[in-house]
Amino acid sequence: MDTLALLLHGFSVSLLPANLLASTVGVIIGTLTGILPGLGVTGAIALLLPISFGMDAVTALILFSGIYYGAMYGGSITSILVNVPGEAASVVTCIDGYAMAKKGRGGAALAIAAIGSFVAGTIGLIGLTLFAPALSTAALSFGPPEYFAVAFLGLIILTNLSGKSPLKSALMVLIGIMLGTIGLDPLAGVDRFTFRIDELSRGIDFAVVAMGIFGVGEVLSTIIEPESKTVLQKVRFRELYPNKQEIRRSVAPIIRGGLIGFLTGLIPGPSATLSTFLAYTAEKRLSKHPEEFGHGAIEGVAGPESANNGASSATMIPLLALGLPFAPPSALLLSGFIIHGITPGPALMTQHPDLFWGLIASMYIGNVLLLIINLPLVGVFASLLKTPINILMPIVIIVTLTGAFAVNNSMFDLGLLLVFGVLGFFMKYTGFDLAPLAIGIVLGPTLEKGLIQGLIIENGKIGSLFTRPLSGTLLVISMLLILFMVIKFIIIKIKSMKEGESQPEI
Amino acid sequence: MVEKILTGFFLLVSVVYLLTSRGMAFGSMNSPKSGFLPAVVGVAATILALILFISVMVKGKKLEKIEINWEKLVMFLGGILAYIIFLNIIGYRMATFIVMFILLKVTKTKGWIIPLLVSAGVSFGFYYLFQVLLGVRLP
Repeated sequence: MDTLALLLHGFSVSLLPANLLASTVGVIIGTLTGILPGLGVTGAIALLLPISFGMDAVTALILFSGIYYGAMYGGSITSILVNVPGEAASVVTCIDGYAMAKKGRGGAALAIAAIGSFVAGTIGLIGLTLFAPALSTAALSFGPPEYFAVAFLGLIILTNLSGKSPLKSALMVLIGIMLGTIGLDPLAGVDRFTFRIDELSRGIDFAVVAMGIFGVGEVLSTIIEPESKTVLQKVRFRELYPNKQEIRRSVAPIIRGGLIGFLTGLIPGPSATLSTFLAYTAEKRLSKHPEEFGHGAIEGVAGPESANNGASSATMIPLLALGLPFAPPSALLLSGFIIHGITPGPALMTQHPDLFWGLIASMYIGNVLLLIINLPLVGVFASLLKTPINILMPIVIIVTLTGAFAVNNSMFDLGLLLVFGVLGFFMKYTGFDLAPLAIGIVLGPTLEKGLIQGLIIENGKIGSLFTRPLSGTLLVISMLLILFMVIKFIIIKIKSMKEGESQPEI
Repeated sequence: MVEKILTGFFLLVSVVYLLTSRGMAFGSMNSPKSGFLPAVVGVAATILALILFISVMVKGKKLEKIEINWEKLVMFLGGILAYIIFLNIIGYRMATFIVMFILLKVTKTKGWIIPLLVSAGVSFGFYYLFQVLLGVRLP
């Protein structure tokens, strides 16, 4: 009952004109980032961070979260109409969504994607409403060893799930942690790895790194690609309505997708993308007509599109309750909190109830707005796919450079932006995943603080970290996962050597 | 080739990081100091980077070859670098106008009028947005 009253209070905050406007603008920008190439959701939030300086903290965070879940829907438009996923979480939607569009059912696929996103997003939000406060309360008793263990396990899972090579992902996590140690050591107050460069004393700004690897890197990838003519499947307004059979076949996949998405969203890593693959596989297995998959089965759109929205809501739980982001967009939301002087975590709910509940309530409103805005405007959004890339990319670069400069009014940051942009570009083409690097930078300081303070508390007995119930359990799971990775690596190596094949990706 | 260079770069970064961390106070297990985590992470990163580097150097399997238009890439990056260098010297509006025009030509935007108009629009539009509306101090 308390939760309901607090949520209603949250609605009164999120329905204030400025916040409602932020939510609307957020979901529209999110949809656009999902559609336009060269502008991912992480890059878009990073870009808007400096712009949000003048905004109220609640308004700014409502805007950012709107971009996040708006992009999940935007990605489905390009997947269905042009067979090009705007976001990684919409790759699976291409399979049956585009097949439906070719059969003239693109409108129905878009409508089901929008309805599924709305329903699953709401399922995720109900979970967020119930679980985030409970986890916040439990986390109040967390000490440094528990925070260390949660961050450590999160990074290990991320290493396992990101990219094609766990070894490359693990190295990226470590490089991220290394970058996170540059600057003033918060515990001892001494400069580290600054090489007498004053600008490095304040550390490497995560927003600048994110704009570089996700923004500039993506633009560079887009401009070198050979120009391709976009074949856009036309959608008439009257075709936007799914028929009775399509609705009937979509109900269960939407609910299943929402639940799969929510549960997957709690796992660190590319959970939104992972949830779409899981939902698609589940629907194919459960379907009475598995042969239709790949040829325009509505379940193949309903399940994955619901799952990615359910996951985006669940991703907010560790961020809001523990202050620990496990995905690049939520890491940027953390930056959004910090630049407004707010530290998310267990105390957020009690110290900033307006923000905590206002943000959650705004996500309910944002989901409704997505449905209201996107269905009638799908034609307008689709026409944006014809935007000339040769003009769009230089504009994105200039706005990124301006945004990066605005973070600290620093020319040095522009240099860093370029370096990380080039790095991100080459990493993408050589199988190094960008997310572990980004999350390593953000979680590195939490990991260090938890480890150092934990060791001091336990008098240097590292084994004691394993004897505390929660940290012990999480660390044992982490060790088992590392062991699993090592054994898997050795088995694959031996197998490939025996068969005389070329070595696998490690 | 790019993969080998990048893996080598990460190995070099890890080694430099590890060597630099040796100059910091490590402390002890019951009183870890500033160099504690960097030393642990530096060792782990160097080992992983070394394994990867060796693996990349000897492996037979090649990554899917990608066609990179190096000329376009280098010119685009050159434009961004010029922007960073000249921003403080000639100011935001002029630097944005010139570099935007160059980037539009690098991306093969046809004609002169459209690139000139877009460059002018972006230069003055963003200046107005960031400096006037959002209060960001631009050079």
